[in-house]
Amino acid sequence: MSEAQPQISILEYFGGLSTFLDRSVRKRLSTIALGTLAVMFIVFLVSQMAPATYTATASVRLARVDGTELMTPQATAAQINQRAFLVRALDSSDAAADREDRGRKLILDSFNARPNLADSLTLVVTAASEKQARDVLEAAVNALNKEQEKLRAPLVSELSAQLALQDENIASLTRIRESLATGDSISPSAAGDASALVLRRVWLLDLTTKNEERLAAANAERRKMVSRMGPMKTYPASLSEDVIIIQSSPRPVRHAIFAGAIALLALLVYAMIRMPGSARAQ
Amino acid sequence: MFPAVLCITAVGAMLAAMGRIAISRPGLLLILFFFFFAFAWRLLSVLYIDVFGPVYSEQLERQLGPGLAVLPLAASQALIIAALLFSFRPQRLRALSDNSVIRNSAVLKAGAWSLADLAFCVVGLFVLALWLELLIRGHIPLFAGLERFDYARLYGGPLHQQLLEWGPMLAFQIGVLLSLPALCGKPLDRRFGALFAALMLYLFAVGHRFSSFYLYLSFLMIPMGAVLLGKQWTGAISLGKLMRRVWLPALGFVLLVGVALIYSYAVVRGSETVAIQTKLVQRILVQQGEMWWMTYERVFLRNDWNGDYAFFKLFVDPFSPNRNSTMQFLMEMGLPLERAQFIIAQGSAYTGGWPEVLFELGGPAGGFCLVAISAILFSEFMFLLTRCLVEERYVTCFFLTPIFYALSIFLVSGMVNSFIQLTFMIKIAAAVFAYVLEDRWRWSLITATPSVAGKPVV
Repeated sequence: MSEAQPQISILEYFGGLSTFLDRSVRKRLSTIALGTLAVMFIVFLVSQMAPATYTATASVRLARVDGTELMTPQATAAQINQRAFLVRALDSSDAAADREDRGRKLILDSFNARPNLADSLTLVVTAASEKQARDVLEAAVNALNKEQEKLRAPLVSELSAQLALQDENIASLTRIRESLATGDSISPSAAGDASALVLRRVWLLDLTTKNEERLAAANAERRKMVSRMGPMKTYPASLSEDVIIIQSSPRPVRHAIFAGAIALLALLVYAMIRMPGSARAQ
Repeated sequence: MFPAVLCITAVGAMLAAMGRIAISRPGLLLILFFFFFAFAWRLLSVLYIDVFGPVYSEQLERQLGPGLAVLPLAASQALIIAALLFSFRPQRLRALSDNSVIRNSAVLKAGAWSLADLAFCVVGLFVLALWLELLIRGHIPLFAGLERFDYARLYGGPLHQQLLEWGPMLAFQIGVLLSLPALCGKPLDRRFGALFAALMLYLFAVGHRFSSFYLYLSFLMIPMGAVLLGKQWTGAISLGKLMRRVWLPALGFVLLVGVALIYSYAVVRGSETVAIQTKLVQRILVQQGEMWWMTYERVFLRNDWNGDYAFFKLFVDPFSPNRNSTMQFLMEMGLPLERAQFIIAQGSAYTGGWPEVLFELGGPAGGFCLVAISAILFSEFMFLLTRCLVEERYVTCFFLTPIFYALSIFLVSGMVNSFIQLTFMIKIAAAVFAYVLEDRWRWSLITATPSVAGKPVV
């Protein structure tokens, strides 16, 4: 089939394009080079004068009581993203507590919480310094814990009450075990009544066994309860150790390269349009 | 009764307008097939909800309709069609005819190695490697009963992933190389037809069903439409003539899609007949229009819209920034937040997005203004692409393809966050550079070629 096609030669096509580009660029090489460099230099200087800002990103492990999350990540993110929440968090901490602080507006505008898949949130904030950015994240988590305390406290106190009851039960069972072991309870009521003594010993053995079983069960329950209240299943919201902080401004080199690319494109287009012989034939 | 008649009339008018374009300008129909098909489907789906509502939606888990939701949708689509008719007005189309246009092949010398030969080698190697990758990896979804998503996630190789990302654009390039010879009165370059068939068979083998075939075929047909428009005024080629030439491959294509659909529902998903019926009703008549109905209810019935919040969720803080933020936003608005985010996290998304996103941003009145702006931009871009195709500007067409793809996805699924990505800016810059370079170079050649320099130009 290819014999029948209009054979636009590759060499002719791409060679022609590259030659035209080469001629256009050569003709205005100095304008293109100097113009691009000038734009890059100006943007570099202007960008360098911009105040420094830092963006901190960290994940937050959400609070749980007895292995159950207090709020879903979506609901927690919605709560944290409310401006009033962040204002309260900043007011209650040293990070940008001053309402006139220039960086405070930056923090309020940039702060964002987004839910992750695995029961955690990602917090992002931009601030005037690395320390301030980190402090804001910590303040937000502290404020979150403070506000969630209303939900958390009743659940924790309920668990504590259950644990106290179990402790009481174990103490009671332990006292019974001690009393059964003292031997007073098996002193014969009538000397020489061997069968009664045997019966009493059997009864006592049965009581001791049952008591031991109940004590063992109570201890197991307690261990389970302690585990439910332990740090694996009950914990407040906490900020991860790995807070990533990057300098988001000024980035003079990046801005200069970006502006230089735009200027280069514009100047190349200009050079091609102004190329003699490429003026539109009317 | 009156609302139903009104809705049916609006839909009828829109379908009639599309039919009129199909008859009077078949080339334009081929160029716009991707959009017209989606438009017509959504119109019929929303009409079904409007007229037969309340209709239960499985995805939204609520009743939808009845109402007049189809009216603003039809009006939005009418704006697109009006803009297209203006951009493709007869004077401009006449300027694309053989008498006026100057093609690259008219000003360039012939050579031993043509662009088509090189492209055939490159694309042929890619398709061959794709098939080899599938065979070497061993899990062929067609025989293993795998869903295409599972195959792509579990077994898909790097070439398969590249195809999923760039496939429609590749189909467009294949279409360019397949059909542009017809501009010079030559037959279609069937080598590229064979490559496209090999690609379709590959998609069939890896478990794709209707949507991929529709997407790839639509993109393949766009250059054919441009050729038809270029030849329309000389009468050298018509839709009927073209259809007579391609009826056999077209029939094979329809059979392939039919088998893929039946196999997917009956074998891979193993559904019962009743379940298949329910799923088809949901898929065909409800899911296409349900998200528009939710937007209509929020924006037009309850006047409950917040452009700032929509902007924030679309461009600043979408749930998954690497994917279409429009549908994520619409799902978050229409479903309980946790359920919406769970579905998005699974990698799924519902259907629709345009013009929903524009009405969520601009409200009932501002939405129409945004629709009009998007219609003008789209129609002018489509004309530019058509002109470049007719003038055989291969390099410009190559660099315009990713922008065209982004615009297409916007007009069908409302994706707007792709427009603010750095990669999109680079694509725009590359397209501008390529356009100006090829345009100026062409004119330098034309002015230096006495035989064509005297032609009237666009």
